[in-house]
Amino acid sequence: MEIDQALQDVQLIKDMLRLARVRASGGAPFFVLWGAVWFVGYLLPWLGVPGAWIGPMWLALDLVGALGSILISLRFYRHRGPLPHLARQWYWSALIFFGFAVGAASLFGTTSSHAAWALFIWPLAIGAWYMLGGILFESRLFLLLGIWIGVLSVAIPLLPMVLAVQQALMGVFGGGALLASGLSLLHVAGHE
Amino acid sequence: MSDDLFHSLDDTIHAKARLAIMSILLLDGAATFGRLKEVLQLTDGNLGAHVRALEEAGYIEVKKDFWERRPRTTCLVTSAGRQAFGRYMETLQRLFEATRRGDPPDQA
Repeated sequence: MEIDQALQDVQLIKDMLRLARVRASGGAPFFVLWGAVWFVGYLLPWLGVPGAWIGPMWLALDLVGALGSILISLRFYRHRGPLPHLARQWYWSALIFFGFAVGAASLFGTTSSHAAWALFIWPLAIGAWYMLGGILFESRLFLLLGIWIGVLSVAIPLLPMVLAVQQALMGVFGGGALLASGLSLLHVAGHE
Repeated sequence: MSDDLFHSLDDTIHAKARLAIMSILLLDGAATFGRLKEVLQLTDGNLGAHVRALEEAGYIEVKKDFWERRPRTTCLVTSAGRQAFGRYMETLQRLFEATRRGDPPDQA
């Protein structure tokens, strides 16, 4: 029946609009995912995870984040077509930032008095990567998030607190900032 | 109610070309004037008029810049445009449902 087909078509369009709203939210699903990863990861000592297990747990969380990012990309961004040039450049620049993080974390990790700093090298690199994204895409959110995470990464290790407390601060204020940003963007997009 | 629903359809979006423009922009996020012209097979003047109408209604914004030393016009849907299109789809859905029920035009 033609009316039934028309109704199905309208519903299809509404479903596609919903996907488009998520896409328009500026990467909000990724903020939520990685915010949750950081929040849980940095709070692992407080969740009763033994010290020897924290490294493997972080690897597992990062794997969850990576797989989740792929699924989000396939679900919401697959039909967007080829990435714009700037976006490609930004993604490739991640290799530089993350390469720096791996190298610096390894270096700090081998010096026992500064081993704890290795935990904050990754967010420092990610903060710098976000700042670059903010400059390239003229996105105030990316820039502010990058600055905030960068400041946390440098300031927290300098605080006269035990490592577990420092990690908790990064989890709450770093991971929390990512989570809050992502949820806020999704909320705004959902009401458009 | 069907009569009221008909009258509540947004005239700005209801025109075929403008409906197509809004659909493309909502799905792709943004589109250049050239892409819109290619997809919709409209003349510069015709497309320009529809883009202006949507811009004046606040449903899209038009940005002009240079890309590889050539002027480029990009259209992006606004939050108001997204909401208006959503309302338009809801109204269409209610119209079709009323028609399927066989509601006479003077009843809701």
